[in-house]
Amino acid sequence: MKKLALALALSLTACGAANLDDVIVRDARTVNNTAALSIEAAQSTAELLYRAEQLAVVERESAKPGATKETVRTAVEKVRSQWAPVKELFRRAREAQARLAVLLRAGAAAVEVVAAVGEMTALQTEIAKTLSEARSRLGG
Amino acid sequence: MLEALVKDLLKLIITNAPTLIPEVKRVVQQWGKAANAPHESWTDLIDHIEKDHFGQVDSDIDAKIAGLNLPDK
Repeated sequence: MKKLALALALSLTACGAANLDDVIVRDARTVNNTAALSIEAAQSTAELLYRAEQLAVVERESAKPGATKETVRTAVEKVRSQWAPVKELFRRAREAQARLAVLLRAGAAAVEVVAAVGEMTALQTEIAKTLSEARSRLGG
Repeated sequence: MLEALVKDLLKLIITNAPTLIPEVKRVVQQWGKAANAPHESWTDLIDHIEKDHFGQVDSDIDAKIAGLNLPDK
């Protein structure tokens, strides 16, 4: 968040101080629209990985000698519990994006907008990291 | 009939634009309070909004496990 605020501040020095707030809000609108799309795209990817990981577990566990529906279900539940924090991340990212949209519509102060952008982008970074970990688990 | 239509529209939103879910929830809550609707009716709608794609994946996998040619226990 601090890095983003700093980057915004640095990029704005060339624009003059008079319209700093306008530039921040304009850029934040672009960030907000892009974020809405990228969160949705990331969630689609996450759902594919979530499904693939569970299917792989179902296949592996059901092939084991003595396998039952219960043993398969237990293994699948383990995958689901690993994904619980990821689902929560998406929920938080969607909320952060919605908060930013509300702030922009309400004409909030630039400092509030920058903080909201920082929060949202930090969550997006965290999402990207967890998806990369999930891909590694699947050997992708 | 109208409730079914609203639910279908909510499902469309969830499927195509999950980032709108928090905003939609806020609108549904406001509507529920303004219309003095029975608590359970708008809570039900909010639950519907909350149920995301991950839940759909779980349902599909549960169905797949149920269909496996294995003993239950």
